[in-house]
Amino acid sequence: MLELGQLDKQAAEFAKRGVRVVVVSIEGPDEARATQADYPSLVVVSDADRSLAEAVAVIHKDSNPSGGDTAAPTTLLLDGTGTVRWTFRSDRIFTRLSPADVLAAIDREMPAATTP
Amino acid sequence: MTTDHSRAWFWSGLGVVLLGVALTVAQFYGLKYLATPWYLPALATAGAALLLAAAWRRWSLVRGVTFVAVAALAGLLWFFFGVLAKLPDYDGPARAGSAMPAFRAALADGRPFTDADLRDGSRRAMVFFRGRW
Repeated sequence: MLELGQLDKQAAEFAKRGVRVVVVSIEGPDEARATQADYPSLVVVSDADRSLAEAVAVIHKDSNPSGGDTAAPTTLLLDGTGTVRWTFRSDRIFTRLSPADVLAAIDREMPAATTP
Repeated sequence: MTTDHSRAWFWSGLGVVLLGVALTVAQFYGLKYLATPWYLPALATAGAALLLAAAWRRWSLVRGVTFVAVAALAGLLWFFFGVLAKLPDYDGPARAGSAMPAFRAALADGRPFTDADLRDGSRRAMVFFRGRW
Protein backbone atom coordinates (compact mmCIF):
# COMPACT_ATOMS: atom_id res chain seq x y z
CA MET A 1 0.00 0.00 0.00
CA LEU A 2 3.02 2.31 0.29
CA GLU A 3 3.08 2.27 -3.48
CA LEU A 4 -0.47 3.59 -3.75
CA GLY A 5 0.22 6.38 -1.29
CA GLN A 6 3.24 7.47 -3.27
CA LEU A 7 1.27 7.45 -6.53
CA ASP A 8 -1.57 9.39 -4.91
CA LYS A 9 0.83 12.10 -3.72
CA GLN A 10 2.09 12.59 -7.28
CA ALA A 11 -1.40 13.11 -8.70
CA ALA A 12 -0.49 16.56 -10.04
CA GLU A 13 2.42 15.19 -12.04
CA PHE A 14 0.25 12.51 -13.63
CA ALA A 15 -2.48 15.04 -14.33
CA LYS A 16 0.06 17.34 -15.97
CA ARG A 17 0.80 14.52 -18.41
CA GLY A 18 -2.87 13.72 -18.91
CA VAL A 19 -2.47 10.24 -17.46
CA ARG A 20 -4.96 8.56 -15.13
CA VAL A 21 -3.56 6.14 -12.59
CA VAL A 22 -5.72 3.02 -12.38
CA VAL A 23 -4.92 0.61 -9.55
CA VAL A 24 -6.27 -2.92 -9.70
CA SER A 25 -6.44 -5.76 -7.21
CA ILE A 26 -8.48 -8.96 -7.10
CA GLU A 27 -10.08 -7.88 -3.85
CA GLY A 28 -13.80 -7.32 -3.50
CA PRO A 29 -15.87 -4.13 -3.64
CA ASP A 30 -15.57 -3.38 0.09
CA GLU A 31 -11.79 -3.29 -0.09
CA ALA A 32 -11.95 -1.24 -3.30
CA ARG A 33 -14.18 1.36 -1.62
CA ALA A 34 -11.78 1.58 1.32
CA THR A 35 -8.80 1.94 -1.00
CA GLN A 36 -10.61 4.63 -3.00
CA ALA A 37 -11.31 6.55 0.21
CA ASP A 38 -7.65 6.33 1.20
CA TYR A 39 -6.30 7.41 -2.19
CA PRO A 40 -8.86 9.69 -3.82
CA SER A 41 -6.78 10.70 -6.84
CA LEU A 42 -6.39 7.09 -8.01
CA VAL A 43 -8.98 5.15 -10.00
CA VAL A 44 -9.50 2.02 -7.93
CA VAL A 45 -10.72 -1.11 -9.68
CA SER A 46 -12.10 -4.22 -8.01
CA ASP A 47 -11.36 -7.26 -10.11
CA ALA A 48 -12.91 -9.77 -7.76
CA ASP A 49 -13.95 -12.00 -10.68
CA ARG A 50 -10.35 -11.87 -11.95
CA SER A 51 -11.56 -11.05 -15.45
CA LEU A 52 -8.88 -8.38 -15.94
CA ALA A 53 -6.08 -10.07 -13.98
CA GLU A 54 -6.56 -13.34 -15.83
CA ALA A 55 -6.89 -11.61 -19.20
CA VAL A 56 -3.46 -10.02 -18.80
CA ALA A 57 -2.00 -12.99 -16.87
CA VAL A 58 -0.96 -11.30 -13.64
CA ILE A 59 -2.40 -13.80 -11.16
CA HIS A 60 0.27 -14.88 -8.68
CA LYS A 61 -0.84 -18.23 -7.30
CA ASP A 62 -0.82 -18.90 -3.54
CA SER A 63 0.94 -15.62 -2.80
CA ASN A 64 -1.51 -14.16 -0.29
CA PRO A 65 -0.19 -14.60 3.26
CA SER A 66 -3.80 -15.15 4.32
CA GLY A 67 -4.22 -17.83 1.69
CA GLY A 68 -5.18 -17.66 -1.95
CA ASP A 69 -3.83 -15.66 -4.84
CA THR A 70 -2.93 -12.04 -5.49
CA ALA A 71 -2.23 -9.88 -8.50
CA ALA A 72 1.50 -9.81 -9.10
CA PRO A 73 2.85 -6.26 -8.95
CA THR A 74 2.79 -5.20 -12.59
CA THR A 75 2.53 -1.82 -14.29
CA LEU A 76 1.12 -1.19 -17.78
CA LEU A 77 1.08 2.05 -19.73
CA LEU A 78 -1.95 2.29 -22.01
CA ASP A 79 -2.59 4.88 -24.68
CA GLY A 80 -5.98 6.35 -25.50
CA THR A 81 -6.85 3.50 -27.85
CA GLY A 82 -6.38 0.81 -25.22
CA THR A 83 -3.07 -0.27 -26.69
CA VAL A 84 -0.30 -1.34 -24.33
CA ARG A 85 2.73 0.89 -24.68
CA TRP A 86 4.95 -0.50 -21.92
CA THR A 87 4.92 -3.30 -19.35
CA PHE A 88 6.88 -3.66 -16.13
CA ARG A 89 6.95 -6.64 -13.78
CA SER A 90 8.88 -6.51 -10.50
CA ASP A 91 11.45 -9.25 -10.02
CA ARG A 92 10.70 -9.59 -6.29
CA ILE A 93 7.56 -9.02 -4.24
CA PHE A 94 9.23 -6.14 -2.39
CA THR A 95 10.15 -4.17 -5.47
CA ARG A 96 7.91 -1.50 -6.96
CA LEU A 97 8.34 1.31 -9.40
CA SER A 98 8.54 4.67 -7.70
CA PRO A 99 6.24 7.40 -9.03
CA ALA A 100 9.34 8.99 -10.57
CA ASP A 101 10.02 5.72 -12.40
CA VAL A 102 6.45 5.61 -13.74
CA LEU A 103 6.56 9.26 -14.80
CA ALA A 104 9.88 8.70 -16.54
CA ALA A 105 8.42 5.70 -18.35
CA ILE A 106 5.44 7.79 -19.46
CA ASP A 107 7.73 10.52 -20.79
CA ARG A 108 9.89 7.94 -22.54
CA GLU A 109 7.38 5.41 -23.83
CA MET A 110 4.20 7.42 -24.21
CA PRO A 111 5.00 11.10 -24.80
CA ALA A 112 1.80 13.10 -25.20
CA ALA A 113 2.61 14.40 -28.67
CA THR A 114 2.72 10.93 -30.19
CA THR A 115 -0.35 9.35 -28.60
CA PRO A 116 -4.03 9.83 -29.31
CA MET B 1 51.06 -11.81 25.28
CA THR B 2 48.36 -11.89 22.61
CA THR B 3 45.19 -9.84 22.49
CA ASP B 4 41.92 -11.78 22.32
CA HIS B 5 39.63 -10.06 19.85
CA SER B 6 36.94 -12.70 20.06
CA ARG B 7 34.67 -10.65 22.30
CA ALA B 8 34.79 -7.77 19.83
CA TRP B 9 34.03 -10.16 16.97
CA PHE B 10 31.07 -11.58 18.86
CA TRP B 11 29.48 -8.20 19.52
CA SER B 12 30.36 -6.94 16.05
CA GLY B 13 28.63 -9.98 14.58
CA LEU B 14 25.45 -9.26 16.48
CA GLY B 15 25.75 -5.57 15.64
CA VAL B 16 26.04 -6.24 11.93
CA VAL B 17 22.89 -8.37 12.01
CA LEU B 18 20.98 -5.69 13.90
CA LEU B 19 22.29 -3.06 11.48
CA GLY B 20 20.68 -4.98 8.63
CA VAL B 21 17.35 -5.05 10.45
CA ALA B 22 17.57 -1.32 11.26
CA LEU B 23 18.43 -0.42 7.67
CA THR B 24 15.49 -2.47 6.40
CA VAL B 25 13.07 -0.73 8.75
CA ALA B 26 14.50 2.65 7.76
CA GLN B 27 14.25 1.81 4.06
CA PHE B 28 10.61 0.78 4.09
CA TYR B 29 9.14 2.89 6.88
CA GLY B 30 11.43 5.92 6.80
CA LEU B 31 12.53 6.38 3.22
CA LYS B 32 9.55 4.43 1.86
CA TYR B 33 11.87 3.03 -0.78
CA LEU B 34 10.35 -0.13 -2.25
CA ALA B 35 13.26 -2.26 -3.37
CA THR B 36 14.52 -5.66 -2.32
CA PRO B 37 16.88 -5.17 0.66
CA TRP B 38 19.59 -7.59 -0.44
CA TYR B 39 21.88 -6.13 2.20
CA LEU B 40 19.77 -7.85 4.89
CA PRO B 41 20.87 -11.43 4.10
CA ALA B 42 24.35 -10.14 3.19
CA LEU B 43 24.78 -8.49 6.59
CA ALA B 44 23.34 -11.53 8.35
CA THR B 45 25.93 -13.66 6.57
CA ALA B 46 28.71 -11.27 7.57
CA GLY B 47 27.42 -11.38 11.14
CA ALA B 48 27.45 -15.16 11.10
CA ALA B 49 31.05 -15.13 9.88
CA LEU B 50 32.10 -12.84 12.73
CA LEU B 51 30.24 -15.00 15.25
CA LEU B 52 31.93 -18.10 13.87
CA ALA B 53 35.31 -16.43 14.24
CA ALA B 54 34.48 -15.48 17.81
CA ALA B 55 33.36 -19.01 18.67
CA TRP B 56 36.37 -20.52 16.91
CA ARG B 57 38.76 -18.31 18.84
CA ARG B 58 37.19 -18.94 22.22
CA TRP B 59 34.43 -21.52 22.42
CA SER B 60 31.41 -21.15 24.68
CA LEU B 61 27.91 -22.50 24.46
CA VAL B 62 26.45 -19.01 24.10
CA ARG B 63 28.77 -18.21 21.20
CA GLY B 64 28.06 -21.51 19.51
CA VAL B 65 24.30 -21.21 19.83
CA THR B 66 24.36 -17.59 18.68
CA PHE B 67 26.39 -18.50 15.62
CA VAL B 68 24.04 -21.34 14.69
CA ALA B 69 20.98 -19.12 15.13
CA VAL B 70 22.38 -16.28 13.03
CA ALA B 71 23.69 -18.65 10.36
CA ALA B 72 20.24 -20.25 10.15
CA LEU B 73 18.66 -16.81 9.91
CA ALA B 74 21.03 -15.86 7.09
CA GLY B 75 20.20 -19.05 5.24
CA LEU B 76 16.49 -18.50 5.61
CA LEU B 77 16.81 -14.91 4.41
CA TRP B 78 18.75 -15.97 1.29
CA PHE B 79 16.12 -18.62 0.57
CA PHE B 80 13.27 -16.18 1.13
CA PHE B 81 14.76 -13.39 -0.95
CA GLY B 82 16.21 -15.63 -3.62
CA VAL B 83 13.41 -18.14 -4.07
CA LEU B 84 10.16 -17.40 -2.21
CA ALA B 85 10.02 -13.66 -2.96
CA LYS B 86 10.84 -14.08 -6.63
CA LEU B 87 8.09 -13.19 -9.08
CA PRO B 88 7.75 -15.04 -12.36
CA ASP B 89 8.83 -13.13 -15.44
CA TYR B 90 5.91 -11.57 -17.23
CA ASP B 91 4.84 -13.70 -20.19
CA GLY B 92 1.26 -12.51 -20.61
CA PRO B 93 -0.43 -10.87 -23.59
CA ALA B 94 -0.15 -7.25 -22.38
CA ARG B 95 2.96 -6.40 -24.36
CA ALA B 96 3.94 -3.19 -26.08
CA GLY B 97 1.92 -2.73 -29.25
CA SER B 98 -0.86 -5.17 -28.35
CA ALA B 99 -4.44 -4.24 -27.60
CA MET B 100 -5.72 -4.90 -24.11
CA PRO B 101 -7.75 -8.11 -24.06
CA ALA B 102 -11.46 -8.07 -23.25
CA PHE B 103 -12.33 -7.90 -19.57
CA ARG B 104 -15.05 -6.79 -17.21
CA ALA B 105 -14.27 -5.43 -13.74
CA ALA B 106 -15.80 -2.75 -11.50
CA LEU B 107 -14.83 0.67 -10.23
CA ALA B 108 -14.90 1.29 -6.49
CA ASP B 109 -18.35 2.87 -6.78
CA GLY B 110 -19.71 -0.24 -8.46
CA ARG B 111 -19.85 1.02 -12.03
CA PRO B 112 -18.48 -1.40 -14.61
CA PHE B 113 -14.98 -0.96 -15.94
CA THR B 114 -14.25 -2.80 -19.19
CA ASP B 115 -11.77 -2.84 -22.04
CA ALA B 116 -14.10 -0.49 -23.94
CA ASP B 117 -13.38 2.20 -21.31
CA LEU B 118 -9.72 2.04 -22.27
CA ARG B 119 -10.54 3.30 -25.76
CA ASP B 120 -11.95 6.65 -24.64
CA GLY B 121 -8.86 8.64 -25.60
CA SER B 122 -7.47 8.87 -22.06
CA ARG B 123 -4.00 7.63 -21.32
CA ARG B 124 -3.56 5.43 -18.28
CA ALA B 125 -0.99 3.89 -16.00
CA MET B 126 -2.54 0.62 -14.83
CA VAL B 127 -0.93 -0.66 -11.63
CA PHE B 128 -1.75 -4.12 -10.31
CA PHE B 129 -1.19 -4.39 -6.57
CA ARG B 130 -1.31 -7.30 -4.17
CA GLY B 131 -3.98 -5.98 -1.83
CA ARG B 132 -4.80 -3.87 1.21
CA TRP B 133 -3.21 -6.20 3.78
